Amino acid sequence: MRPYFAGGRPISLLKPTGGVRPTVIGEALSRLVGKLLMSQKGKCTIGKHFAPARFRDPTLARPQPAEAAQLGVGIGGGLEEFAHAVTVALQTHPFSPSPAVPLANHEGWVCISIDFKNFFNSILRPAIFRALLAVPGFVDLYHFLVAIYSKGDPAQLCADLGGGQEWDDVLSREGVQQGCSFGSFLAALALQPILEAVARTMPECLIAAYCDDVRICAPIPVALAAYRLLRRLARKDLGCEEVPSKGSAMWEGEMSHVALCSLSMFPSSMPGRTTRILHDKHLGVFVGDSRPESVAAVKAALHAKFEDKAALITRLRILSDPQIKLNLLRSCASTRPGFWLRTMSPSLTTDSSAWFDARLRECMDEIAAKPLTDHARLLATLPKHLSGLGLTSAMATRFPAHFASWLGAWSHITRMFPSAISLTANDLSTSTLPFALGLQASHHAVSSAAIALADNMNRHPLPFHAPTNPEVTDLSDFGTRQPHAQKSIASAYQSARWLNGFHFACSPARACMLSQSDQGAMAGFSAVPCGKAALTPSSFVTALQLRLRLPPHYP
Amino acid sequence: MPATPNPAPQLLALGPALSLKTFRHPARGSAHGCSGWRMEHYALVAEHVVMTDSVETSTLFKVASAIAADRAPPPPLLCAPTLQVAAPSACSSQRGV
Repeated sequence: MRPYFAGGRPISLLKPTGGVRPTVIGEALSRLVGKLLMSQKGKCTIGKHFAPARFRDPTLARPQPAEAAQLGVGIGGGLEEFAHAVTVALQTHPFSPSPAVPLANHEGWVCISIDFKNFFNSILRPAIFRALLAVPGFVDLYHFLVAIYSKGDPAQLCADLGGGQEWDDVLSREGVQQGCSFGSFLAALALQPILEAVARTMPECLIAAYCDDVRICAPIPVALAAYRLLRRLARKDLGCEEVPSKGSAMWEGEMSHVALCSLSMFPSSMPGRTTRILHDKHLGVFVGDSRPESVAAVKAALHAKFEDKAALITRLRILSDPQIKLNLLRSCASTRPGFWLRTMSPSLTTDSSAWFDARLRECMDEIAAKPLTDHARLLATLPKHLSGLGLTSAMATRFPAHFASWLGAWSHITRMFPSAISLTANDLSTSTLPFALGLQASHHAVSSAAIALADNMNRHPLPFHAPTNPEVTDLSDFGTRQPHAQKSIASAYQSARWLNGFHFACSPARACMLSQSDQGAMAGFSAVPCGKAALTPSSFVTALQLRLRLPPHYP
Repeated sequence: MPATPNPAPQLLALGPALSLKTFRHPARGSAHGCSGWRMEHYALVAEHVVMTDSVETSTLFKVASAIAADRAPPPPLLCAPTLQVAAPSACSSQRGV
């Protein structure tokens, strides 16, 4: 029974870049027990092990040297923190703007991206269990994990040889299963001692990981030593091979000839080592430098990504039911650019957002069977509790999304990487670094919206869900933790959009906006179209046109 | 593999209340394993079979605790004698059909 409970169904998922991602769907009961044990352990306990500095009191003296942070396990929003931390570390440590004008006493930092070959499936199980037994807080998981990942009594994976008719048993003897509740946790647990060993050798650096994606930001000699040590330890202790061609080297500013010579010590197959790359992708976030050609390359890469994401909008045309179309457009298609809007500067995302919104509007025109007016477009892109249809407009959300992402991440990244991020919250409003300029623009847009809302809230009746005291955190207060930043900022910004629309609307439209913002008023439009909630296409389109006040029903 | 620690590490015992909550509210649309059971099936069991005030005595909780403690029975020995199943024709002849 043990190999059966520990086993599962292996399936191969195709990667977007080609190749296969082997995944195992474990037995549901084992997954539930794993999930339960993880919940009992608590996210906080896990997070404190992988990124202790993130949870430490900032008033305490920071340890020397730098600490490694694993942000892929037990940390909510770790991905955005990872991307923001690498961006700030690179931009605050540029090489001289040009070789002719060197910065006095300043050595630039380089960001080395490290990737391993088939990390999850090749990591040695003895290394995993050594790491597990070395952490007192996780030792009590031993019994369950040894059942799942025993080498002596290996888990049985029932591989489908075709059409569910023929099956063969594959024994799982090495690595961790992608799809297991503990897969990422165990892989990160085994990698953590190596990251910590590397961090101990670096006086000033940023070393961060998101599961097996590792970034080292440091001066070139320090980064080179750290890279070599990490590579050696990963091979020796974990049995994992680092692949230079999957990594990269990036930096800000212009390197001197001496620095370029130092960079040539990295493997020749590493992108960025011989020829400078225009942009890189850090966990899906496109990162470039200040050169105009790099900015253009980042914008082009982002646009290509948005085009890829908008393919779903195009595919919605094959559906005949407008109610299903609207539900899919709202829940699956319109929210897709959100991650990039949060992590990338509005100056980079504006063009792609406008393009994506145009596709969204075309699709809405088709669903409503009429071109949308500007007022209808506003109603369509407001949240449901503010009389809207709940579609996400990329243009309307890019500022609050980006601002809230930084607001949630800043206090954590400055705690985790104090030597890499020397900028304080007080410097953010005056800094001319590209990330700070994006943040200032976002802050300006969000605070203007909050001020407009606060100034006009007594002139007009407000919907029930609008905030009564809209306040936006000042850039100088970024040092304090803001756990619900995204929600509060979005609420204030969207309420300001509602108020603006209300201000310019005619009296009947105002009445409509107010009544539609009552609790549950728009529920019919978000109901799953089955049973009584399903309308005939013509009834739904008519209801939609009435709600959006489209002509000829309304002038 | 590193040697099994001696004494054996303390076991993380499952909490009844959290167990019931986890079983009753699983992620929707979960994939099935080899048995074909999905998390929603266990949610149904937890909803209709497990009594809220006596979770510890329920079979589901006992099985989950056994898996968490690595107390699942060992696999059958392949060389062990198995019951010989008589061919249908032999049964028919014995009955005199």
